[in-house]
Amino acid sequence: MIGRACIGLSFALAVWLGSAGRALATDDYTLPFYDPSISLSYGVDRDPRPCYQRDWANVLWADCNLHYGRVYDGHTGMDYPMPLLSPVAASRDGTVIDLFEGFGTEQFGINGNYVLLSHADGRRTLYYHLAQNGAYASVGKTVLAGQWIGASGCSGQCYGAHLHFEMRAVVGGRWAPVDPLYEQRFTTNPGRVPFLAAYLRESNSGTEVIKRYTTITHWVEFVNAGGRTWRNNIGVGRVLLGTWNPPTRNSAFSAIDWPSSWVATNVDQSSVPPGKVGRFTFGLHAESPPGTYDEPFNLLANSMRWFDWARLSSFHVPIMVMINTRFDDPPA
Amino acid sequence: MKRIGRGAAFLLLAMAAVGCGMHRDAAISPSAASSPILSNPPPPSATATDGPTPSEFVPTLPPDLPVMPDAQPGRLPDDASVVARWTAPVFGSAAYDFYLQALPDAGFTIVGSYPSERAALIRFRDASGRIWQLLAELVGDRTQITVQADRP
Repeated sequence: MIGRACIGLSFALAVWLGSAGRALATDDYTLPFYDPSISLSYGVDRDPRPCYQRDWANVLWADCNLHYGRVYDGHTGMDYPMPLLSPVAASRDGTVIDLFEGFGTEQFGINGNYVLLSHADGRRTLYYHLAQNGAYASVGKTVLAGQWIGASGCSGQCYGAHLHFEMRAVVGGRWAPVDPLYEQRFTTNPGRVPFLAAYLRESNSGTEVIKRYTTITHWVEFVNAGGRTWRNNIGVGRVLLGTWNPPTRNSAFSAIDWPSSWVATNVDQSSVPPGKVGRFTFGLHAESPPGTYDEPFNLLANSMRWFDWARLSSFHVPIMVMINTRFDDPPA
Repeated sequence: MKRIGRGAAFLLLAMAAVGCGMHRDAAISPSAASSPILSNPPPPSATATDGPTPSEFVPTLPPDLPVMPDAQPGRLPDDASVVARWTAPVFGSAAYDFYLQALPDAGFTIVGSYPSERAALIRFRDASGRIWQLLAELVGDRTQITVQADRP
């Protein structure tokens, strides 16, 4: 009885301490790439002892082996397999404080190409093994979360093309690698890529029937499945609904409320955090002759990146324009 | 306030651990175990096969396994799960890249590839459904390639 009580007390305390030792999920870092199918190769070893490895889930491995998908001994960052020259993104707003891009894309050696960012929370992130001339930023420049800052490679001590992503913080007066997964620095474990959305619903999922020379209102909702908060301010990175196939196509159905001929609307809400639903409301004005039409749309983080249209269920609005007898001749 | 609370909790935990005889990590040596320890459940694994249990399974080299050009046989370690080892005069990603292509060409199915700074690991399935690991790492001035039974 006493033993069981002891176990219960110990367990409760251990759970509480475990949670207290971590920061709460801060939603402030995204995964440093765009492809959501990329999965972790090896994470940070949180145990400094040789041949003891503790991964982000607090599993301890008392050996020196590689544990795929989890950790290897002494690892200071997170390895993500990706083909050579894949896009690498900033995981948070920051400033470029150092970079090197002079080694060959697959030049094996002690050192490799990298970009180092400094962030407002006092942390730094490192993007390592980049391709030759694969740093798409310059020292002193500010970058935004999700901004394309480099191309992946396999420079340096590298066995197989991948990105080594490392987060550093001042611990005990010294820069030290920390584990963003364990600290829940990503929106969710194992993190979210910056720009991703999932179709939820719309005002009319069938064909919009519009009388010629009139305007109707349509809305669509997407879940923010990415790691970056959607905003509707006028700056770079605001999330808007634009014409697609081809992108930035002038639409024949633009209404007076459209910000431009190819931008149907910005996201309605001022802020849509990861996991929440954003609505996009816009008019559709029919000037075209009676007939059937189809208008594809996609989301864009302005001046940064289009979303993956397929993951938006290839969002499009079928339209049927009807004759308007006030202005059109009736059909013969 | 928060510090005091946490400190007190640490003390309580220590007392509970001592009083209840908990010795987390204390008796574990590197050679004592090669499996995960502690409270969390093991990671989801794609290693399950319909083959014999590990105690019954005597690993043998999968037939038709491709060998890199100019590779030389290496000495097997004292580890029953290792079925083959050789070295090749290449650096970096060369062995990894070779096997990412050669394994499927030889009829094996790659179930996972795990590049890193220390070594590259490829998990692949043979025709019988058994999963293996191929490990490529730098030893001296050559890449050592090890084939072993799958493990987490």
